[in-house]
Amino acid sequence: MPVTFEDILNLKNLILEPGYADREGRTGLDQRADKNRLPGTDKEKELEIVLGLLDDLSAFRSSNVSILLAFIKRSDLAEETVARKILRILAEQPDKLDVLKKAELIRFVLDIIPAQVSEDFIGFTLKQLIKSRPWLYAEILSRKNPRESVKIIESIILSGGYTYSPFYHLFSQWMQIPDIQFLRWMGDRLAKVLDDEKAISILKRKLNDKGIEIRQDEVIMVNEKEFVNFKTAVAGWA
Amino acid sequence: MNLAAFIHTNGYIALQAFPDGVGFLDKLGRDGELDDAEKNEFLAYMGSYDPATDGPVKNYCESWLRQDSKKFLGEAYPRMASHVFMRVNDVSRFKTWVNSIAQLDISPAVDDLMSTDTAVRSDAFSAILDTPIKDDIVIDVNQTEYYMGPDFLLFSLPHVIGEAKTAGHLEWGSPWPEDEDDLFSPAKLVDVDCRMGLSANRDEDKIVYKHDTSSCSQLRRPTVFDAEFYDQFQPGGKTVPLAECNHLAGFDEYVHTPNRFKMMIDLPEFIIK
Repeated sequence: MPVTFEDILNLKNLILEPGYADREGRTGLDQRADKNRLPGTDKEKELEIVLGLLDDLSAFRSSNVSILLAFIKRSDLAEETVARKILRILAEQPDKLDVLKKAELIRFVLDIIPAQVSEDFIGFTLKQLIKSRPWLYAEILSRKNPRESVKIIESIILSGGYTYSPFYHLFSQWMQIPDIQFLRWMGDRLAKVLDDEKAISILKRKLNDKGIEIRQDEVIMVNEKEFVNFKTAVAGWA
Repeated sequence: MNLAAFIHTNGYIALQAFPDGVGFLDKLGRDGELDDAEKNEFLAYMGSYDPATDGPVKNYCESWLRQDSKKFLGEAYPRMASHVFMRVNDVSRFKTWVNSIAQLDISPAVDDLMSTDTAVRSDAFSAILDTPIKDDIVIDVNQTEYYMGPDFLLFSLPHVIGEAKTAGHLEWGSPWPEDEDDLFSPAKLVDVDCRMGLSANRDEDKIVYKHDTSSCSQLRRPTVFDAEFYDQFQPGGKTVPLAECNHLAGFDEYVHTPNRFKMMIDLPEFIIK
């Protein structure tokens, strides 16, 4: 059966208004995703509906986009096909969507086909976030280049924009990267600039769990001026 | 209530013709939370069902059941009783809901919540509650109402997850059983979802938490109108344990308007499948 405009509209309405939850908290949308995972369902058609819906996200907020993408993952649809279509939309019609929706979409693409997305493309697509929401920008960039993301957080801390919660989310994301060298480098950089005992304690504890020790004398507070001097010196040595 | 008198109506016959409908009618007859006038209202609606014009009977029923005025018709929770409740949810759905509101991806922090180290869990929990909410929710009145509730608009509160709703629609849960103070011990925790009769997605990890429902409204016994065609629900006020743990007791059961994340008490626990 070919996909109709009504099929797409039905899914759109379900994303905007997922329906009453049953006793287990499953909305109509959750039930549809669970049904999609059962053998014998027409996944090709569901995929076509999703691809059709991606052409019209105008009524969606970024929260709705997030729910749509979770629905796709939950439904076990061909995520790579979806990711490629999203990438095409972002590349060919960069002004079609606002930056918060683009952030949701590019995060999904990076989770599925990171090699297909360049850092330049992330920077170009999300350039409005670099100043307005640097934590969010760093979180998304981290999926492509965690070292660059650490450097952004470092500069946020040094410019006085630190808060515990976003730091925690970025840090726990980095801790899931199975690269000891990176973790040691990240711990070393952040221990030098962090001025929050709680965060330093988490940093030390979690890195210790991975066998990485940060020596106490390395955990020193530096002010911005000292750090700039340090960076200048390092650049000079190079 | 004797339903035999309704057997001649189109709607009654149609409802009996699909498997869930028979169970629904049986429970409607037995539901002591509803009075006969409320039951009759539904049956009169079914009486005018016309398969030629009204579509599938299930959808026809649901369009009646899903009016807000038909929800929460059971007995109200005693005002003076403890409002510490317990709620169980799939971890994957919990993540999806929080991530739809949160500005940053909270999935790694939820993974930390499952750690065996209390300090790690505590740090992750406070980070989640303090996570900023997406900008386009905060600035949109309709979205704000959906995610944070109408009363949110009356106050100037920080725009963080702690203020947001733990679900978009009504929630089901149980008063914390005061006589089982070790319910969160590993040996007992493992059966909590089974005792609650949660039959869907049995193999998925569950998050279990205590929360203070004193600010939730409409805290009432569920009725068959709340449960709709959910076959694990039985009228009578208790959850029905699944077969694999039916030697254990069920829990008292209520429905209410969604709570807020900041009303969670202590750290959540997890049933890892």
